[in-house]
Amino acid sequence: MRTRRINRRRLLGGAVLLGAGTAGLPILTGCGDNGGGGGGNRPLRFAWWGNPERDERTNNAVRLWSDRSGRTVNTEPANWEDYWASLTTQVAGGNTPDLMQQDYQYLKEYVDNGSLLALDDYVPDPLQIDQIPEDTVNSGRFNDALYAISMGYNTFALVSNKGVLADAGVEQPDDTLTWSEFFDLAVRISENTPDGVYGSENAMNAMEPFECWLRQRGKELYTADGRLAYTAADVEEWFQYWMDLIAAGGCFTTEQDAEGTGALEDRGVPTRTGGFDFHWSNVITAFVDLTDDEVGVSQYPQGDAPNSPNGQYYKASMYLAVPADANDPDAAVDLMSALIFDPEIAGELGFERGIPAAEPVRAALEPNLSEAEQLSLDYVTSLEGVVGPVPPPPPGAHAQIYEQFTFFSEEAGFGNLTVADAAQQFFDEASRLLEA
Amino acid sequence: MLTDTRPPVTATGAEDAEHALRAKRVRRARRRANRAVFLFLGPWFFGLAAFTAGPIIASLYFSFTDYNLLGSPSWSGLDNYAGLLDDVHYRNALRVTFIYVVVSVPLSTAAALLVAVMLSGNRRGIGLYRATYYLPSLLGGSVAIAVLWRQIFGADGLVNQLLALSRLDGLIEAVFGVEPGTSWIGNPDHALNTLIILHIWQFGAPMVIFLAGIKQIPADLIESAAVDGASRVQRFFRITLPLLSPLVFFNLVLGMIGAFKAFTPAYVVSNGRGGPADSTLFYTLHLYATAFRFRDMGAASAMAWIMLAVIAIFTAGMFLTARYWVYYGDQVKLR
Repeated sequence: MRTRRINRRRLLGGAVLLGAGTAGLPILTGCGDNGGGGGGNRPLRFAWWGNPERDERTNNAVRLWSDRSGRTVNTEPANWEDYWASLTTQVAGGNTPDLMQQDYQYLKEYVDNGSLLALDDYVPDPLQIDQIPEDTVNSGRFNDALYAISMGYNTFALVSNKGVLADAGVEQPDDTLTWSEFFDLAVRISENTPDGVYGSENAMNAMEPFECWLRQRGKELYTADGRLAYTAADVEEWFQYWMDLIAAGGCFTTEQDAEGTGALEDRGVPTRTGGFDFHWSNVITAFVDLTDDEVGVSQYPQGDAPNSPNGQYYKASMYLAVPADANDPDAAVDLMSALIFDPEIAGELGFERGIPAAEPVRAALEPNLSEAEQLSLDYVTSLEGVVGPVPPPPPGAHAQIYEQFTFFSEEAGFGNLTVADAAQQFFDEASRLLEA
Repeated sequence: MLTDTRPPVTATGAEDAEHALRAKRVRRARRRANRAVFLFLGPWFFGLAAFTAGPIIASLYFSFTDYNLLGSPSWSGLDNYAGLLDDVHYRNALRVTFIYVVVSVPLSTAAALLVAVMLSGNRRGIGLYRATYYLPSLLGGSVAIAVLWRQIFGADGLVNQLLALSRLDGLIEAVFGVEPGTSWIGNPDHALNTLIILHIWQFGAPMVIFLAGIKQIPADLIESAAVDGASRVQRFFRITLPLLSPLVFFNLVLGMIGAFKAFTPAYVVSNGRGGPADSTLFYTLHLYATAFRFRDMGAASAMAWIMLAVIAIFTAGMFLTARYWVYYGDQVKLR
């Protein structure tokens, strides 16, 4: 709590301060016994990427903080794509929101460019980071300084439509399922269900399951110094697995996959046209809401080699960070702290951003969980102790490399290139992008 | 412009002085008027400098730098331009855009001309028809229509349902080798075609221009040709088309520039990816992705300048050919 010069500030009236170039004048964070009441304070801006449910939950949480602190907050939700386009533009223009949602993929780049505020001065008050698992905290630490704190964490989750599985006379698999068993299972589901229903979503062009698959072989997407940590042969094997599964009818074709919008509600599990889908665990609740049938969750298939690791890790799902040039960093950090550590305010967010990082928040939510949230929590906590280490942060070119991955998997899927050529060309292209 | 207000040399001294005085007054008044002109033009000049010329010059500078928007730009010479040559997607984007321009612009101009000729008569309710045919170009650029296009050309879309109902799908398979139930937008062989059709469908604006042009053609020319026994087709090709050729030229040039810059339909139909397999990767879409998704503002600026050069060359090329086929009434054609 930072309450400075509150009386003087009141005397002067917020409006005067507002115009007076707030840089030199400490403006209170608006919390605590004085009741805040900064009617004349510039509103805070808080931006995140999300979906309608997240936007509603976040707005509710922010409103609670506003009522308590007396500060107005302008919220700026957007979808993933637009969010990053506008955030980079705002950073370039010196117009960054006071509080922003960040992703592991971009965090390092923002830190390296000096765009984020080091938060160490705010530890442990108000940022009680001892409530968060150490690994998770450390994922927001760069060059020995803390720049971002995760709101929650996720793991890979193989989501299934139990109705489709039951129609095919197939049991919900457990966590011992291997990739080759998954192959047969998917084909069996396609065969024993009506035309147009497939065993699995086509994940050939998705790098998340590819990453899990690599980790099961003791590899990673990237080394700590930002190079590729796999070979073209790995890519070829991955592409070939899916080409075989497509040919066997076990998953959607490349064409069907390309036609899809990628929106959750159009995917196989909710529309009852697919048995399995590869996703992050934070969408389990959304899948349950969208699907009439019961939804099952298990780990991604395991490596076929005996005793291979499960490839899983706790991925800090979304971070909050404050820009280095924030007008009012105290207030921004206070809002950030409430959204992560305050059981009441963070509780409004539920499990939508993954399992809440702060233990007390999770504990406070636990008695009143919906069935979907319980499913999600049980699954993620079942991996405690068996998840692997967090991979190093991906390099700045990751987004572009991902796009190449999709492109070359389509080139192979449509038969424009052989699988071997597609894999090699992807690998060359990705290497080139990392050198640039 | 009146610049010499000096009196003739024969004038007397008094007249001379009076003239000089008057001239001075006139000059001062003119200068005051000039000041007012600049004052009123000021905001426009400011806007031009700050919001048009400034960004254009900045983008030229950025095109020679390595700039990811977060940091500050650092000089990299011609690296961005050279890098584009290595980029397989850049080549795909060029190819897709050229095909789009070369196919869709002539076809949509032809469609506009055809419909304009059909709607040029004075029949009952002709206004309604004209409005109806103009409607798609009001809607066509919108996101909603592009979304609708996804529905129409999807695997279970309207097109496939109609083909199945009318039992034409077998014929299509026999002639074009397209299996029934093919997703027209999910298949790289057809995705661009659906966007070309979308573009052709929006012929409203050139159609209106053609209609206005047809109304200008003297009726007696057509009548006398008809009296001389020219058929409808002959009248069209010998009279209407030559007289409309300036408008054809105009519509082709504008259409071409617009097609080079097309963005929305591809963005919406392919979810911003230009997929499947780059088959709808319009130049502008790749430029946008490079700038905002890959945060390589330097390369994106280089792409924008190359685009400018390409459009300039195409436009210049069309103006060069124009003298051979565009007929302006005041020119005498020499053969």
